[in-house]
Amino acid sequence: MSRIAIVLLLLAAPLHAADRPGRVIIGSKNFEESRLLAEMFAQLLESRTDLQVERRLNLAGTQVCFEALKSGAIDVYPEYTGTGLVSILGETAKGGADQTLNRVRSEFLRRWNLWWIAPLGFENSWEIAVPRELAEREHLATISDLARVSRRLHGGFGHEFVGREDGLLGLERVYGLQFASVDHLQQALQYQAARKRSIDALDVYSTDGRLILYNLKVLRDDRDFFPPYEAAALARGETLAKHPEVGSVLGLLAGSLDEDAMRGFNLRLQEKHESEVVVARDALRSIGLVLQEGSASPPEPRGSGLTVYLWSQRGDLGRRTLEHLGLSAAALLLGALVSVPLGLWLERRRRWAEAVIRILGLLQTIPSLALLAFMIPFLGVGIVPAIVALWLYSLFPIVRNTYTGVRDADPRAVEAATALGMTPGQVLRQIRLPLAAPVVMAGVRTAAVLTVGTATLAAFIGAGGLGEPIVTGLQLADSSMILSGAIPAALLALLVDAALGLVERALRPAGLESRS
Amino acid sequence: MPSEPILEAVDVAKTYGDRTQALAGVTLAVHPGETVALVGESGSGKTTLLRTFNRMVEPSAGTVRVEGRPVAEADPIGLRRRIGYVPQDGGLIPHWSVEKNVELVPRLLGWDRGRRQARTREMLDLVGLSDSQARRHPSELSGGQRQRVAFARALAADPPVILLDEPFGALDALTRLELHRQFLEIKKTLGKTTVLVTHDLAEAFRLADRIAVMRNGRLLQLGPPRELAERPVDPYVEALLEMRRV
Repeated sequence: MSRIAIVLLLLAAPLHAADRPGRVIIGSKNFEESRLLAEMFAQLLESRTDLQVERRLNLAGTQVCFEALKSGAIDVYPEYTGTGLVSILGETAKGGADQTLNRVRSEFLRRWNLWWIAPLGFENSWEIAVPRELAEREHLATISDLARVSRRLHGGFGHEFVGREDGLLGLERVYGLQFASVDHLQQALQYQAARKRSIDALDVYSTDGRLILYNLKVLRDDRDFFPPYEAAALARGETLAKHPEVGSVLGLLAGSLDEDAMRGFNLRLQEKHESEVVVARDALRSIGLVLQEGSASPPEPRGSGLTVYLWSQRGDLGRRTLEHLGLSAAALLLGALVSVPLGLWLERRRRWAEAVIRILGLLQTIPSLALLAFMIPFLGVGIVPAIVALWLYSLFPIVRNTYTGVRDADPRAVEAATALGMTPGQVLRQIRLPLAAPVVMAGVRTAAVLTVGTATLAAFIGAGGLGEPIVTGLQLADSSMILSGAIPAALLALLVDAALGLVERALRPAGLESRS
Repeated sequence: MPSEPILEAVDVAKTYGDRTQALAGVTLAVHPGETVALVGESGSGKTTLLRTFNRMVEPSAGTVRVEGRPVAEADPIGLRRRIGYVPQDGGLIPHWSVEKNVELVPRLLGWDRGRRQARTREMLDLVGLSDSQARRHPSELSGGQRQRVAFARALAADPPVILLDEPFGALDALTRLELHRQFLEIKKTLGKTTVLVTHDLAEAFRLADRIAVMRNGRLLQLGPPRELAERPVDPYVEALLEMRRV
């Protein structure tokens, strides 16, 4: 196994791009504002420095981004001081925005050599909102008011909010909130649920453009429970030392934005579905950091029909399909290179076979997202951990089929060939392997379909592929966007299965066909 | 009868890991050119004894000699290439053509192509298979044809000894009789030393020069068919003969 580890490390090395000179990698979490800010960082760096800027947007949440930053898989990402204080440092919030910023600045620097640079001038704090009609009827202005009537109400909160000490857990304790029921919802679905009044209260971000659109009232946090969530760029000290221009250029953004402006930008992303690239450029222009040159390319018209949408996305679709195939093919190839020899080895040491195959089968049951998240501290984010995870999933079907295929290959022919003086090696190469080939190939085929399917999740750690529109579409509750990833992914799986089915038939040795 | 046996088992015993005793001390000599049938029920040890001659089974005790040399000292691969072998179901390699199956041992021995082809042709003629059948795969042949191919393969490298493990066992009665006839013909032409394992006493009477009756890993009686029929030394042999008459 150690040889495999070395091979993987060699593969990983050139892709671990943070170590390369002249390149900086910008990360973001998987929601609009984070992507927008990251895109703004990226465009500003591209226009003001000679650095090659790479984007790793849409990483799945705070832990993933933070681990990626620590490990050097990304150099900078937009973060909020409150998140740094509570989620990362595990401290409770006290004091105002400046105190919080100072606290995270000194602690992050001391512990990890990470720098909070360019506080952007706005807060995107968590707030609790209720439908305006409900607020007026029940005279709700503050969260304390809400606590008074919460037993009759239904809460609908985001998955992250429910589980966090600076989210629902603490809120319930401090205000004595107790809802009749609490649903865990995707952020985008919360708003729709509130409009239909399936839920009466939801967690919102103060810069969310949808607050206006959905006619929601934000309740005042009268006990100062929510820590200040001031947005800033969180950067690696090593990157800033190697490329000082990163710090000075991103510093230009300090104090340049406010909540109103952000709500406007977010609305364009959330409801008008404009791309981050366009909105980020407009944002940078509006604060005078890039020139008003040329005319902004108008946002792509979005047809109502799915086919129109798919057609408008054909360029991206092609690129993503290629990325997707690339990821799957690399994982599958590495999987076959390891699994076939392993299966053959196990066939000669059958005592080990049961145990090894069972362990590989167990690997299969690890949820893909958990496995991907687990890899980040070791392999960072992007293509390498995605391939390693897919590779792990591909092992079981190929090893199992190689093992059983070779073990069960026509025992009478094997016995007779041995009795007539073939060496074990000759029997293996000339008889057992050719007879086992279709079985091995069936395992490869299973692994391929599995890999193509699972590769959609690679988008969570920034490896691209057809999962990208699925992940983004889930955030936006945009079914056209989800389908623009899901349909090609499903078709791809079918296609790969059919193609490998043909290979399987071609590998079936002559003389076996007429038997079945 | 020549004095030097070509196959020899002396006090050969075989105990398997789980302490099943397959052979409990068997002594047997087979002379050049003769056909000896090992007869007995399943579990009598006849197949185990057969397989000690080509080292597919290693005896726990005793000595096995082929052409005067202890097999324990021989390289098993080289030994097996000098001994023909036909199992019950033919054991043909399914993804190889009939020709390729027949020329297996000559190819292992490094014969050149021309010699291999000529020999394969000759062997297929001997067992009565046509050129077009030679290019087919085993799955395209009948059971009887497959056994003929297995015989041709066993004889292809002209081994001094052939071992037959119930070669006619899986065939229907008519095909079996036809193959018996062919076996006797080949026996007359080639004069190979042959050990035949069978549970069918009638078959042994028809094909063998001498019959060895085995039971529970022991040799009960060894002699020409006529001697067995006239002077059975053991009640079990007697019972077997009774069954044959029925």
